[in-house]
Amino acid sequence: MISFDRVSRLYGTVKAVDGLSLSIVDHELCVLVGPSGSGKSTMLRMINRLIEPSEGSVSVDGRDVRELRPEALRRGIGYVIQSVGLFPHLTVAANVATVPELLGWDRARTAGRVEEMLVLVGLKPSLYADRYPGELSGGEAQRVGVARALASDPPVVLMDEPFSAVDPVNRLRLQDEFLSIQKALKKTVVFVTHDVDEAIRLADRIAVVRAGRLVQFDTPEGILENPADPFVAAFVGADRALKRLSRFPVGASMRSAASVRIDDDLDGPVVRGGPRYVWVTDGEGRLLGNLDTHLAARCGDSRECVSTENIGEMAIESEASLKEALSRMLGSSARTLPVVDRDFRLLGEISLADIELSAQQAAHSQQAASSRRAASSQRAASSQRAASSRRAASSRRED
Amino acid sequence: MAGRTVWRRWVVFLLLAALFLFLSLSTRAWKLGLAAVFHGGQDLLYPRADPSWLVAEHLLLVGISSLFAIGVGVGVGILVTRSGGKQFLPVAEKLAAIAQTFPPAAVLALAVPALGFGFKPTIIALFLYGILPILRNTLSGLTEVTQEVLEAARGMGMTDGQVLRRVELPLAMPVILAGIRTSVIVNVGTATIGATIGAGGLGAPIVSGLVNQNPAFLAEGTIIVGLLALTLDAGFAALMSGSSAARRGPAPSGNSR
Repeated sequence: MISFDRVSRLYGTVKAVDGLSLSIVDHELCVLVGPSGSGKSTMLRMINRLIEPSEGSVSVDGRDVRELRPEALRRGIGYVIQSVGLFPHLTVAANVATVPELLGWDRARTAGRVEEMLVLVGLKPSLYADRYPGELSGGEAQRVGVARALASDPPVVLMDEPFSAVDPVNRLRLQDEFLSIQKALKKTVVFVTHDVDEAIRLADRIAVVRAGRLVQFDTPEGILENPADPFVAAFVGADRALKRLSRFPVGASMRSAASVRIDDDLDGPVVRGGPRYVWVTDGEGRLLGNLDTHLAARCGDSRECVSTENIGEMAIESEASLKEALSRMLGSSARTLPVVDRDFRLLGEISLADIELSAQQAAHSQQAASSRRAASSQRAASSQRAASSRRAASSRRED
Repeated sequence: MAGRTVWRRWVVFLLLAALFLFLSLSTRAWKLGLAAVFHGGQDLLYPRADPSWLVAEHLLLVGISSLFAIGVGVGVGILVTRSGGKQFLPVAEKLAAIAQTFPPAAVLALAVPALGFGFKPTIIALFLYGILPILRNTLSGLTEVTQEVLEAARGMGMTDGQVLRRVELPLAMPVILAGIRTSVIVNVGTATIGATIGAGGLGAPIVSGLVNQNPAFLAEGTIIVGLLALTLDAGFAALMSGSSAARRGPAPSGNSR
């Protein structure tokens, strides 16, 4: 666990960080989000002592970070920065091997680890290991940066706006890839960004920071549902309800869909009595189009009535978010979208009503959760007050 | 492609080095060659020392002064770019600039009353004269390393010494080498002036040729000095193309340089 205990950092008379107390739970991805200059990067750097607090203390796993030499501390914490900071004179493999070498791993172990890491971030070792950073695209360089940070398998990883220099399309890809890596490795990640959408997409828990102070610390759902003050509300934006939809994958809300196979089922006339519209797939279950059964009854060969128009744009992957599904519905005239897997095999369908229902359910469960949390934090606060008054009493006795 | 230029540069260097060695070792070749061009009863070859001896003296002058210049230039360059020595950075830059405005002949003239004639004052003059390009390039090479790279290095747990050895020096090396190259090549030419205060070297036949109006002596000295400078320059070119081949292409995007 990483915890900040009444930490402040002054630059001259300016408080870049002001009385921060925050506990980051193990194996969670915690995003520090706030406008530029709010002190979030300063907070991050105090964890690996690139910046020392002026007041208060930072601890990792219950140990004050000042107990360790800064170098030893940093070797145990992964670190990714915005501009990647790859060493331009070293190959990709040598870059990834940096921390293992500093830790004195033997050659074979380091080499094996480097290969494993490159595979993990989706870069073919045979293709990338011997390249130089100058020969990589922005997205590739960023992947190498992540591989380098994870190379020594540190329990804690700090990421300072790691994807902000990448174009929006690649940023979404990198975020998805990083989420799946995180799902597998379960690191304790502290992630700094000024991008609210990124925070909501990635975070298990979000800390909203403003002018060096922690304004709200909650799950993404909690922050979207109950912004602590007008600043947070404005910062997360008026489209909070939409943003919340980006937290839910289509796969969790979809329903099974009526479908027919083009080879077998459409041989004869379509059976009446089922739903009016059905999806049409090939023999392997891959989506081909849809069919209006009322019309099909009038077609000589039903196969000729299958509509394949826009099917590629309608179909949505099950990993995509409800927000994306909604956006597709608004963009096309369709109110029901086919849900497919990566190989375009039909998994089910999702309708506007399904999205509405999911949003309502989420809101209800969130309200219940936040009222539970409010109660427990009140309890915690009152016990803290009791403890501090006990301390005060005992110190008076010592005087 | 990069590999081929490296290879070609080494070939050029080896050819020049072979020619240089041949001319500095073979007294007979000189006698035959000079006899074919120059006539008129005077000595053809500088009589007081063989070319090989003159070359050895010259290399010693350049070698010793350059070694000191490299040591001091690179050393001071590193010291004033550390966090502890940062306040001396502007001073070092100014001193280095002033050092080169002195003509080497003036430094020699000043060194004679202090150190006497001969080898030592020449080496000191060459040393002082050679520091500047090395110091200047060391400073620019080290200060050009981007903050992001330095922060990444520190953030991963490198000590100050490791940051210097593993990141800063390798990145600055092409620029530092370019400074050393300039310094050494200039010193090869400047060292001939040492002969005026009795330091010997390849300046000796040149000075003697000027005094005695003997063009054969002049030819001996200037041809070998010129060839030595070309050979060393080709050597540096080969060395540097090898070291900078490691940094193909620009830094990755997002790295605002």
